[in-house]
Amino acid sequence: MIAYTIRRLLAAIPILVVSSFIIFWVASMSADPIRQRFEGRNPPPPAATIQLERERLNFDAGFFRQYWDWLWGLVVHQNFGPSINSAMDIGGELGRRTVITLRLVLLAMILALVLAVVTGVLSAVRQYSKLDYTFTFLGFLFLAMPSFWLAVVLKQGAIAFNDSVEGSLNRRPIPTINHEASVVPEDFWPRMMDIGLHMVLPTISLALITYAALSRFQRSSMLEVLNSDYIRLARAKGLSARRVMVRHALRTALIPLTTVSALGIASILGGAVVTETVYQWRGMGDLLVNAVRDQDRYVTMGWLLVAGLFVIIGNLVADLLYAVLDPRIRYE
Amino acid sequence: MRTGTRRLSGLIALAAATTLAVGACGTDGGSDAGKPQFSEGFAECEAKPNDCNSGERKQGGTIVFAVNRGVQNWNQFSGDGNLVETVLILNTILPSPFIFLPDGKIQQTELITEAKITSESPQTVVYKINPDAKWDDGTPITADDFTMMWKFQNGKDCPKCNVAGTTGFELISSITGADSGKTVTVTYSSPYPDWQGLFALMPAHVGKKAAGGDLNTPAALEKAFNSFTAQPTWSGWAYKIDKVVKDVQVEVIPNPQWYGKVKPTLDRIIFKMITDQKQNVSALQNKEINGFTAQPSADMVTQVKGLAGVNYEMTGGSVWEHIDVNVKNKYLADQKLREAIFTAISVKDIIQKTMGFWPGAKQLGSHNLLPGTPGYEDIVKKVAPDQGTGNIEKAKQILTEAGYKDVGTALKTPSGEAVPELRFLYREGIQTRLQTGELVQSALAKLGIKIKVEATANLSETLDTYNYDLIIFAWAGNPLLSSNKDLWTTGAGNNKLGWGDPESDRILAEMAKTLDSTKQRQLLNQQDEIMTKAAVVLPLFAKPNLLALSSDYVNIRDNNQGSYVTYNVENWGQKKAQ
Repeated sequence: MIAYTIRRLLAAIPILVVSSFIIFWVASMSADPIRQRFEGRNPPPPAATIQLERERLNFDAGFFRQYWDWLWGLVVHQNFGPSINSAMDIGGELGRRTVITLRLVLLAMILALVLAVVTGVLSAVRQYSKLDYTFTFLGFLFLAMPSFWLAVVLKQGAIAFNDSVEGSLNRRPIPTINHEASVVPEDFWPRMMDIGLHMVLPTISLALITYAALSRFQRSSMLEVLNSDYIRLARAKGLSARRVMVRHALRTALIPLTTVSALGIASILGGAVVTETVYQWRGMGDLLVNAVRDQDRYVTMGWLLVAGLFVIIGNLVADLLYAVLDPRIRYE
Repeated sequence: MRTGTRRLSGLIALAAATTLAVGACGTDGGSDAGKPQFSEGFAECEAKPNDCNSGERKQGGTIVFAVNRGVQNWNQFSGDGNLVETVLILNTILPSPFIFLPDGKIQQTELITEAKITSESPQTVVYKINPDAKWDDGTPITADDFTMMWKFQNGKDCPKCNVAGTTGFELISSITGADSGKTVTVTYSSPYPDWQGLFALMPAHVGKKAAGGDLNTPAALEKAFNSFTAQPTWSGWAYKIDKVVKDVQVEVIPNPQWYGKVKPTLDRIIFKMITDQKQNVSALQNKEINGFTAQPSADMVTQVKGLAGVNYEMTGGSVWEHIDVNVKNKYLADQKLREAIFTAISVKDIIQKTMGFWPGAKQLGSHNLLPGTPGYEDIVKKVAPDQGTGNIEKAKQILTEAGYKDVGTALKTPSGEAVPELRFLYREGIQTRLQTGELVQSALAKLGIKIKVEATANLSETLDTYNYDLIIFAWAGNPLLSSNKDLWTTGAGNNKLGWGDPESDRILAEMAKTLDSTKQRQLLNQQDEIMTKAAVVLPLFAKPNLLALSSDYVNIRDNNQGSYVTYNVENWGQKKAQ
């Protein structure tokens, strides 16, 4: 399995290189960030300043040279290139923000998976019952909700809740912006409470959107397994319903969900962009929004690499999980 | 009240950010027409812009004030550090000799006891620095600080300093210090009327240390200049930076070495980064912030008006929208056609459609001065009263008298050539400008002129290459009057019209060398008359700025003159119970 893992990681390198080249090409086709930065300034900036910026950002080099310099700097010096903001260390920024986003994405993913498995299984087991219809309705409802809209609605709900309890609690318990309070509590437990409360709204927003699709997959996968011959055989052999359900049916039914979840990493990262904007988290999503606004191509490239790495690792983990879920699968 | 310039670099930032970042504004069809644009706490702002929301302060308290983006580069004098938000925060620590008040007047700060022109030829300015003025480590503020800032920004001593601008500094021929550096003599090689807006100081002793001991070589200056991109550990004003949570918030606390008479009462000011302006209102509603400024949309205004315990003021900002005509287009080179176009466009309709949520919006009558500032005159009304009226019959008459044919159907020039479809450009994504384009399209159709409304993703390139026939965009008005020269002089860097006039150029050149600001304004109005008659730029309106603030705070008011809301930060405080 180790050899397989290494092979998969090595195979990911050309994928990342090709995708980075395409993004670099697209980014270089868009507006000139230096021109955009100085646009509208009166009096205009000195020509020397513009030239210094061009040199710093390596814009005077040809397209292929720019890309090669970026790639070389990354591979040899672990340097993600210069940002439009001269004081920004892109590598450090990516690292710091990845931690913030992972905190959100991982928790949301876990919550979404647990919800999806529970509701998907219950829906399948009680197919066409009121419970099934309820979960189906909720699933489609959240599927149909734009993530930014859900986030804003939750935010307004939290504000209304805070209004209602402020008098009795003498504080507003649910924060709506940032990943921590303006004045962070110094003691450990109050600080953990603060972090936890700041996670409530963004995690729910992201989890509900993600859960909706996963629950539908889990339901159909479970239904397919429950109607298969080997489950019928297991029941005929007299195994307990619980043993049939958990050991034989659910385990098999989780395989498609694993695939979908791995593929869903990209979309949950996309969802994080919206969620982080609405809740003003300073994670990867916020970094991407700022980079696109400022036409900051090297930051965009860095973001893409990290996001691409997430997707590749997610898919690799999914492949490895297949072997855990299905003993017939072995990797050489 | 603090006096102190929030200087040229701040103004540059304003121009850049506002012109570019103006978002789409919604409309509400003017349903609020007639209602005041100030809530109770700011009711006096129209009559007393420098004193409204005044009050006694209690000792202590914290304010959380939202800003639109995080600070990456702390050197506001550098090309990429010169952003509104950075200037707004650094106002709390940077000393400067003058400040622009909300009404556009300039006021001396407590950094100096006196500053005056002692000679007009060559222009010589002598500053007397407050003997008590010092940096927070106790080092006196002296001529050395002025000299370092000059060397950074004159474009000669430090060619590799990536400065935001050299304007003004490149005209200084020498700076000398006397009386232990407390008397500073600045000599200009040619007159610079905006000298009061020039200096804001960073500590030379800190720069010198970063450069390895001296500031006499280009390399040392560059090193020192770049060292100021890091988070400041110094202060020369009322507050000092205590803590920075990157991209989340900047916290400042009172500077114990502050030498001003008015002492800060707030224990802490937290500048909270809220990069999506739409989130400001809910954050204010949830009491996570106490105030913010923004260029508002109709939705934002409605929401703010509905918040309990929140005061707001909406004032005409310094950003003004206008429609420009490309005179390089051979058809639009004809002044009569331009006059007819401007006459057919109804500015009133445009305001109603796009700025209906702001009852204070009205047609702008000048290209150089903003309403409410000294010397402002409605030049359009004075010399071209039909421009912007939407008077189609008058426009037709102009064309007919000029010999145009098929007026009202398919316009032809006097020589019989069909006037082709004209392209009206606007910046992609700004809905109000699209709506303006549609109104222009509809109005000019009545003259027989077809208009194609197009979006551009790259406004600068469109302007630089004259790739438009008509275009709408915004300039930021600038209290540094001489900067208008760059906008309208033939061939100047910011003249995006392709238009020029020898008399206009002469007046602008004279204006840029006139040290008397009253005379300067008169000259600008003279130039404005020439330009207005030429019908090349139709001023529309100044865009509003919104300040929303928890009613618990006093002495906080908006400042659209380039010094920003923090211009008087040492006066900010929590309201004292009556």
